[in-house]
Amino acid sequence: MKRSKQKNIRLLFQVIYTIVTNGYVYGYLTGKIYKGNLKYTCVPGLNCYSCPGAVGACPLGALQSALNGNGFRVPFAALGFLFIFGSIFGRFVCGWLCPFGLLQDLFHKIPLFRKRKQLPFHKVFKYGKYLVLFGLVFAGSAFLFTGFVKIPAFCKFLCPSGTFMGAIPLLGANEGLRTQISGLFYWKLGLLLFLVLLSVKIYRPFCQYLCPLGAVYGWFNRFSLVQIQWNKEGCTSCMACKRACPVNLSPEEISVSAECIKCGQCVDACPEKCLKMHNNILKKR
Amino acid sequence: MTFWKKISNVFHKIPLWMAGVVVGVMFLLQGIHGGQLEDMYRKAVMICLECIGIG
Amino acid sequence: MKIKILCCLVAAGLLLTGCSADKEVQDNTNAQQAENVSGENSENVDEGEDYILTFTAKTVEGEEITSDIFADSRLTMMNIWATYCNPCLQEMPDLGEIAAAYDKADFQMIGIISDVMEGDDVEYAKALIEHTKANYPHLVLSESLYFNLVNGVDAVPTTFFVNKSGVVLGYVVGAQSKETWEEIIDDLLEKNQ
Repeated sequence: MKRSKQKNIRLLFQVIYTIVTNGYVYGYLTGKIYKGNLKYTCVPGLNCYSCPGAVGACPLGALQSALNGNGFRVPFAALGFLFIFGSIFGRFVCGWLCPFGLLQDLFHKIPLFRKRKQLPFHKVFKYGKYLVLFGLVFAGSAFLFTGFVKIPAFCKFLCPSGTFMGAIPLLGANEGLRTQISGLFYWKLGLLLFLVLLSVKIYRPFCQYLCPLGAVYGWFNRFSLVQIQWNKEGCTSCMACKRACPVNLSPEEISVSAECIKCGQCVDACPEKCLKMHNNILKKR
Repeated sequence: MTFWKKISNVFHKIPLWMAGVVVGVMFLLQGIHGGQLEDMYRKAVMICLECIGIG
Repeated sequence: MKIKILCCLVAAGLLLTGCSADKEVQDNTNAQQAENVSGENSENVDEGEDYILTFTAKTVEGEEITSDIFADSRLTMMNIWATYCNPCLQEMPDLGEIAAAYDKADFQMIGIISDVMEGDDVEYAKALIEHTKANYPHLVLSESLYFNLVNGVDAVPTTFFVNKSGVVLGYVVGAQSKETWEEIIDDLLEKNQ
């Protein structure tokens, strides 16, 4: 069976991107983290700065870091990064520029279980992302005191990307750190394993139901520079695009819905060639 | 055309994504001015173990 | 095919820049060669040469301290913490009690605030110190302290033990209970008469 060109390009892009943004090899070998100046910038996707290989900071980490400050401060710097990445890419970040997205994509390829695109009650559960965003990222980091100072609530209690790329490599390379493992770590490890195993059957469950970053970028999807253009006149409503779409979007929803990760699988599937990866560069309001 | 009409015309000619990037850059500069990038950097190179779910 | 090769080269190039950017930093600190003192168990002895810590820094009160201070006690415990770190702050009341329990000639405690540089506002840090009753000297980061010690540290809290000659005996990563600290301290005091 001939694999679509789009799929191969995207997979290669995701792998290379992950290697570049988490490629500080010295870090993995010694269990130390990168401390250079690149960490003054955020990468667009979910990427814990505690990962020994990470060379940039995480936008959600930056957001929570500002909210953790004394009193209440508007997290301008983090919002700045989010606006820039969101306005240019929208959820293209999710489809092409997120290591944890790549991990779920890879596990979904494992030929076990009958594949499903979505959980039952998807229409309700898809709002879980916003719950995580407002409950943990915002309210949790701005108001919750679990000790003397505030904490990044999403990072501490939920983020599976941080567990996989940060906590696990650090614990692997640092014997001294292993004495610090507590119940919290087991909760996060369990959550990571659950999501990774679930992604074998369901397509990208974390992205669809829990990721607060996806929630934010989703708001930019309609207006972002990167778009998938649909030529309405040529469309025969065969719904080949919907069948190919990993999150089951109809032609009207492609690229503009908050669920679209702009992976481009619909582009390859359309027999009339109505869909193509495009940009909004000249679109006036 | 009046001054405000001219402004409105320019405004409507700018694609939304570009406006978003401009707003983003302004926010970023404001954040740098407030030292938020420095804060983020310090937390990124000296990790609080509780924040990543260990200890 | 050409694109794939190009991408691999770009990735390789970026990896190498990442590595070399930090090499300078790594050469500046040999703290990793110190023996690792872990939990209640015995130390792992490292055959490498002793690392002697030297520095000049100011306390939060503005007083100047240098590494001559090591000569005052048989054992000095340097606890690196940060104002955003809950585990650090949670163990500091215990550290305050420990500092008071020993005679200065035997043991002294010094705190190092890793996120306050010389010249930064110290009011917040001072408020935290008062709140946690951590009544021992706390140093603000200076260049020598940063390059000779703190730069090799990735996580807070990290604690170093130094003998009276300034030799770093070992380090512990993470917060510990009061009992654990006392065991480690008593053990080191015995070994370093």
